[in-house]
Amino acid sequence: MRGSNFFYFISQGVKYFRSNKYISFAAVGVLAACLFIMGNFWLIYLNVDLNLQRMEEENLTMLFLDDEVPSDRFAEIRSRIEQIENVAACEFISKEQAFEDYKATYAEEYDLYEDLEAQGINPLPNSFSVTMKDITIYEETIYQLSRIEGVARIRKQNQDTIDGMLSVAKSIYFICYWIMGLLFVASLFIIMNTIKIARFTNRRQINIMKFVGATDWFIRWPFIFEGAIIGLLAAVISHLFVWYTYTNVMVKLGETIRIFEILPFAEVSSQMLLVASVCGLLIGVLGSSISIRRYFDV
Amino acid sequence: MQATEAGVSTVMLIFENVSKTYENGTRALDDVSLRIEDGEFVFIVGPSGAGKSTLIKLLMKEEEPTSGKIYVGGQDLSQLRHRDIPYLRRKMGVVFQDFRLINELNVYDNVAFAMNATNCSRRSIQRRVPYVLKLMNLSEKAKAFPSELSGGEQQRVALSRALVNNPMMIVADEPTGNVDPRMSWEIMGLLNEINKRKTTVVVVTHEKNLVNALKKRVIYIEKGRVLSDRLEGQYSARQ
Ligand SMILES: Nc1ncnc2c1ncn2[C@@H]1O[C@H](COP(=O)(O)OP(=O)(O)OP(=O)(O)O)[C@@H](O)[C@H]1O
Ligand SMILES: [Mg+2]
Repeated sequence: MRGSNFFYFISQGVKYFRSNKYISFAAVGVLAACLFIMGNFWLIYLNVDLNLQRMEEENLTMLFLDDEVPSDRFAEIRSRIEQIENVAACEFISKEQAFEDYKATYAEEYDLYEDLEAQGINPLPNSFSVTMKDITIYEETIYQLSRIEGVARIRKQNQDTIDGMLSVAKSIYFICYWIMGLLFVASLFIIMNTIKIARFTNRRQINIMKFVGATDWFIRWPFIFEGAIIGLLAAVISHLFVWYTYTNVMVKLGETIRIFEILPFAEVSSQMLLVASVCGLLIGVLGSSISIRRYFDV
Repeated sequence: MQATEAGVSTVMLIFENVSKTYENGTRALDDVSLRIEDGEFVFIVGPSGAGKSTLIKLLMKEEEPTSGKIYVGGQDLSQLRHRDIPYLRRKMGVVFQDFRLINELNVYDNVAFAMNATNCSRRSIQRRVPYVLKLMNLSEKAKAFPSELSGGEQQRVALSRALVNNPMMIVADEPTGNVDPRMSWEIMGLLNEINKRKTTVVVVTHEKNLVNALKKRVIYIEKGRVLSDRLEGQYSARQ
C-alpha cells in the first residue's frame, strides 16, 4: 500500500460506510450487541478469576507437629516440606509464637487462658503454615505433607468452599469460553451477510474498477477500512454499555454480597476496550473482506 | 499469421483460431483468426448473437477461449497470471452501450476515478482530467452528475474515462446503442479523432449508415465466424 493511497482508501471506506448507511448501522448494532455480551462474560471470567486467586492466597494449610519432635529437627522438616513441588511457601510458627498470636486474637477473652498462663502451660503445638501453588491438586499435596515424619495433624482450610468455588469457576470458565467463541463466529456470520447486502449496491462500482484496471487489493482496501470502521464503532458503543451495566449491576451486587470481591471498572476499562476493539476489528475486517470475495473471480 | 514472428510488437491484436464455447454449450466464436495492426480503426459488425461481445470479453480476459490463442500488444493472454490482468486492462480503454458510469460521482470524478484506480498521482490527475474533458467537449459539464446528462453526453464521459489512462487501444461495444442518431455521429467522430492520434480503435456497432459513411475496415461476424474482412468496407457480409 502506498502512503498516498492510505488516505484515499480510508476516505473511500468512509464513503462505502455512508453510502450504505442503514446497513452499516445495522451491522454496527448487531456487532455491538455481540461484543456487549462477550464483554460481560469476559468480566464475569475476570471476577471469578480474581476471587479464586484471592482464596488461593488466603488458603493457609496448617501442619501441627508432634510435641515429641525435638527442636533440632525443625529445619529438616522444613526442607522436606519445601521439597514438595506444589508448595509455594512455608513458614515456621513456634509454640510460643502461636500462643502470643492466640492471646492477641482473643485479648478480650483473657479468662480463657489466664489459668494456663499462670501455670506456665502452653497447649499449642509447633507448626508450619503452608501455601500451595495450585489448589486443584490440593488433596495430593495434603497426602504428601501428611507422610512427613513428625507431622501430627493437618488443618485444611476452607476445603469445602474451595472445592465448591473451584468447580463453579471451572464451569463458568467453560461457559465463558464457549459463549465468547460462539458469539464471535455468529457475529462474523451475521456481519458477513449484512455487509453482503450492501455489497450488492457496490457491485457496479467494483465491476467498473475492474475494467479500468484496478488491482484486487486496490478494490479490497476500502472495504477493509469500512469493516474496520464498523468494528471500531461497535467496540466503542459496546464498551459504553458494558461500563454502564457493570457499574450499575455487578459493582452494586458486589457491595451487597460481601463475600465476593468485584473488580472496580477503572482497573479493567482499558483492557476491556482493547479486547473489544481487537474483536470488533477482526470481525469487521474479516466480514467485510469475505463478503466481497466472490467479486474477484473475473 | 504466426505470433512468434518478428513483427509481433507492431501488431495490436491477434486472434489465432480462437473458439469459445460457453458452459451451457453455446458456441459463441468458431475458429476466429484476426489481426489488427497498431493504429487501425476497425468496425466489427454482425447480427445479434453473432459473438461480437464475446470477442471483446476474450480480449479483456473476462472470459477464457476454449481453444486458440490471443495476443494483445504482443502478449499471449493465456500466459497472463490473474494478478497481471489489471495491467492488461490498463492498456485498453473500454466503452459499453450502457455507459457504466458511477451515478454518485460527478463527471470529473467519474473520469478521475479511473486514474485513481490505477495509482496515478494527484498532480497528474489534476492535469490530465480537464484536458481529456476538453477533448471530449465536456468542460462545461465537469460538475454535473450522470443523471443530469443526455445519453450522448454520458457516453462522452465514458469515452473520457476510457481515454484518460492513455490506452494503446480503445474498445467500444455498441457505443451508440443508447444515443440518439445525431449524437451517434458525434461519438463516431470523436472515436475517429482518437484514432488520428495513433490510438487503435475497435468498435462493435449496428449503425449501418455510420459504417458505410466512414469507410473503415469492417469485419463481419455471423454465428461466431468471420464471414468477411475488408478495408473501406460496407455493412454487409458480401466479400
Ligand atoms: N455468459 C454466457 N453464457 C452463455 N452463453 C452466452 C454468454 N454470453 C453470451 N452467450 C451466447 O453467446 C452468443 C454470442 O453472444 P454475444 O453477446 O457475443 O453476441 P453479440 O454479437 O454481442 O450480440 P449483440 O449484437 O446482441 O450484442 C449468443 O448466442 C449468446 O446467447
Ligand atoms: Mg453484444
